[in-house]
Amino acid sequence: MELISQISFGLFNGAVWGSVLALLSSGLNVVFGLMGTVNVAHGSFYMIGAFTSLVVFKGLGTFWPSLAISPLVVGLLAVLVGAIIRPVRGKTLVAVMITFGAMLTLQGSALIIWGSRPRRLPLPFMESFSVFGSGYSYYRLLVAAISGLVLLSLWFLLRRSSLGVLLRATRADSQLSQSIGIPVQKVNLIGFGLGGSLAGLSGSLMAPLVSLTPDMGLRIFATVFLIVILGGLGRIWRAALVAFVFAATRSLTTAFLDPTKGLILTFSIAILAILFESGTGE
Amino acid sequence: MRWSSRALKWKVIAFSVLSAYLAVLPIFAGRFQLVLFTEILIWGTYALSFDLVFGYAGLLSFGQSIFFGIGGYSILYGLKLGFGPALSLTFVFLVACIAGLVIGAAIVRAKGSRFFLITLVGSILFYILATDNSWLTGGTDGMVVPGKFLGLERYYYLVLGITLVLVGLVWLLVNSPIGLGLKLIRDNRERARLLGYSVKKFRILAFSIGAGIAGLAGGLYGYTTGFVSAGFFHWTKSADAVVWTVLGGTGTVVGPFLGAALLTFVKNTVSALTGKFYTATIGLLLIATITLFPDGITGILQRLLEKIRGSADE
Amino acid sequence: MNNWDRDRHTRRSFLKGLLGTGIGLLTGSFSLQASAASPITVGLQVELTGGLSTYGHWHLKSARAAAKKINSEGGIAGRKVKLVHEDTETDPATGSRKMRRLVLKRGADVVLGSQHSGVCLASIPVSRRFSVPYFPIGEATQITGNRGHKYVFRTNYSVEAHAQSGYSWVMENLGTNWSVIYANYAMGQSALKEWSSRLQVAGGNLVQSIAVPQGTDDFGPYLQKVDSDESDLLFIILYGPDALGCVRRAEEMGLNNELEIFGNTGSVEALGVDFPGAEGLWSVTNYPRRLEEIPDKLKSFNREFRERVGLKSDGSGPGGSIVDASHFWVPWENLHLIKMAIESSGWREKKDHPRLIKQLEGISLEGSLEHPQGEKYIRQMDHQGFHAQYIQRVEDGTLRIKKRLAPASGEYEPHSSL
Repeated sequence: MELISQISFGLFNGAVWGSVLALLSSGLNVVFGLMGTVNVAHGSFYMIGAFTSLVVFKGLGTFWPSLAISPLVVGLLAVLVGAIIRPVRGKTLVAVMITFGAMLTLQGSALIIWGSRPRRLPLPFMESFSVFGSGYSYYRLLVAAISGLVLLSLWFLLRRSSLGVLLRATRADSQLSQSIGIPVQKVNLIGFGLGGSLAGLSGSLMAPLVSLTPDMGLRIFATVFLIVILGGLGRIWRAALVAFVFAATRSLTTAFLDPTKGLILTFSIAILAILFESGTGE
Repeated sequence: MRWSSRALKWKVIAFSVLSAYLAVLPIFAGRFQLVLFTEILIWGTYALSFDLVFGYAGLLSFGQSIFFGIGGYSILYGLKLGFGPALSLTFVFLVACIAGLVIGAAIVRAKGSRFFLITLVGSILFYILATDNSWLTGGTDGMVVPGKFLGLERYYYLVLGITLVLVGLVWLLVNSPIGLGLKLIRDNRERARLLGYSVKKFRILAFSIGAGIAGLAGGLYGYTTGFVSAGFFHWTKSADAVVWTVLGGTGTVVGPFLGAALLTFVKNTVSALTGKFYTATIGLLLIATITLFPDGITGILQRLLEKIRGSADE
Repeated sequence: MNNWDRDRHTRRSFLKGLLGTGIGLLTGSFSLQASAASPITVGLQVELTGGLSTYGHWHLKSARAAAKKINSEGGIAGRKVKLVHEDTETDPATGSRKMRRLVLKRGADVVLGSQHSGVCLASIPVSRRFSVPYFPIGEATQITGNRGHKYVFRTNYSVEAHAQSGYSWVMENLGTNWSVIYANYAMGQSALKEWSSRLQVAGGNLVQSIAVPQGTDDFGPYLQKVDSDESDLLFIILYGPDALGCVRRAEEMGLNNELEIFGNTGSVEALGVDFPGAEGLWSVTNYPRRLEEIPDKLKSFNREFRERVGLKSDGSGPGGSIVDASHFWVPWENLHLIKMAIESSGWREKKDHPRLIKQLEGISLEGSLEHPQGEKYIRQMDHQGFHAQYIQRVEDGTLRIKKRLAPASGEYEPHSSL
């Protein structure tokens, strides 16, 4: 393929992937911003979202309802995890370990229920179009569109709605918020649920495009953490931007570089980024 | 004061009894039990490295597998270079310590959850490096560690000896002024600084020694099983150390061994809990332990002992 | 004595263990006492969890069916076959630990090995240490090469054998300009090396080799590198979910209209082929999926074999899902091979192993119910087995065998001399 078509394909493909990664990283950042907890189980929420789509597809014969069902299911699960963490909020590291335990539990449960054989969901519709000589499914466009819409809604929610104000206030200063009557505990749980729903939705959207295995959350978790770190922990919109840049870069570099070396480079950059970040304490 | 010297006396007695039992174990244990105990001792040592770094120095490190892997490959290359077992093991400890020093110096400045993330990402990074460079590591297919098979008993005594020495040394360390300094830094960083402690130096020291111990565990594991692979670096190995220590009791010297012993024993004998049920089980166990029994098994045992002693005192 | 012996093997509690080991020691040295009545314990290393669990599940069924058949026909030299298995969790360290458990705790006299090459390589030192005959299934060439030893026998093809047997057919029929997309770890790298080196020596052209890291979700960027103008063939060396993802994405991108696509062993074995993009897909396999496609003289054997194990004639299992049958015949055949070797060599107990080994070296087998995959032989020099393999193609939504490649076609230079 020609250079121009390769680059164009890379950018295009990257935009689609980037939108989903942006969704996932936003979810992670909502939780971190709120409770200062790095939710190690975030990848597992994504995985549960994907498997929920599988269940819905097998049960109802169609994929679409899962886009509404998964965020709900995973959101509730996330609230549960958030509730468990609540008593140890102050001790960050202990909270991190609990989320780690949650990750193991979720992954282990998926293993028990579905086993490790990779599952596949068929594409909800087969129509495709041509991008510089290669076929590309319309479904991928839809994924990008839905992700974009949800991100937009998230922005509105956080910036314009009263819930958003509460979330941001609690994040800024929970003690002060509590003293003026904001139900900090409840808000935190909602935040956790929101983060989880975003992950669940991402999982559902990606389900027809990837192989479903219990450890699929782990595979994507490293990437999402990277993005969140590079964008700055807790900074939702910077991370979303990084997500797009990252996905586009990866798509492009695969065409021209050895992908493993690329991975090594990215991880190293991430480590350096964390080291030199003068972040929001913790 | 009376309390602590009596507690000390009990601890020494318990330690001696346990050591004596372990020393004579090979006489009456079957081959499989011998292998099992050897493994438990190695994993306990490995978990101890995590406990030193987290329980005593307050650094949540998910990167112990980095040093476990470095240790495993150091013994491979040490033996290949012609060093005898003793020299090779020393080599392993030194290499791992130095690696810990270098890495530690770079990263201990990061706080809490950032430190955790760096070690986690670092662990994944090392795994990728190891699988990608199969000329050096054999990738996931691994490499055979050279040397004749010396017999299960000899391996057991080697591991036991090294473990007892390490446990003794670590115990001395954490009860020394250095250990107190570490604990102070862990609990109240600002106060420690005001008192003149160099937080950075203490942390690097702890991290580096922890790395050496983890490396030694890796070297021993490679040596006694005759096989090393990139899997030594996998981050789930780091996770194992965390789970064992938390289960057994953080901030104790014996906790990691209890946790490692319990889970290794369970893994090997209770087949109902192996295979597909294992992951979910330890996940739940971890959550339950942290929320309900934060001091782990040692905490439970201590409370039991207190109750007994309490009623005896009256 | 026998009572203590049994207790030693089934005991679980720690305290009982303390007590029992004392007495166990006294009797331990007698526990392997051979007697006409004592069973022959066959250990089985299988992947029941983890990435290769689809194989393990069927290997276990196959081994159990073989044991059942043998026992119902009088056992091996009049002794019952006792099958014990352990889950390797598709992890080399766990796999070798389970191997030690099979040998030391569960008393395995011989061990049928794992599908995972890493597990096999980690377990080979254990088999050497404790002198236990080991029959690994993993395909890494070194297993019967520089990492093998005289207790190791592999009846199924190595990576190199597959390549040696198949490359000239592929060059003659699909083209000499290859684009290879491969899994970037030991197995994939090894297959790339074996196939492409032969291609190049025979005057063909390796247009490009595209490395894919493990666990890739998005094949788009890798597939768009494929130079469909210069290449005749896209050669896929990927496994499990990666293979699935790649083939589907290739179809989505329309690559199947631009060049031939050929899947190496293990890549398309578990793929359902009834989707439009699969049409025309070529692959190589040890064992045809559908009973109809099996050569006539082996049909009746396979009909009965499949019935006993539970595989349907269309290659699906009880739930209707496609089974990767590429290696599931190996445990069945190996168990029968062991039976035959024990009976003809007069093996009774561990010290007779050298006799058993001698019997297995250079052995030659005909297709039969006991060896339904067909004729094969084990090379004396490196204990590597050679058998037929098949080129197949998806036509009208089903897999059809296009060519049978004879066992001897796979012979390559041995890498060790045992």
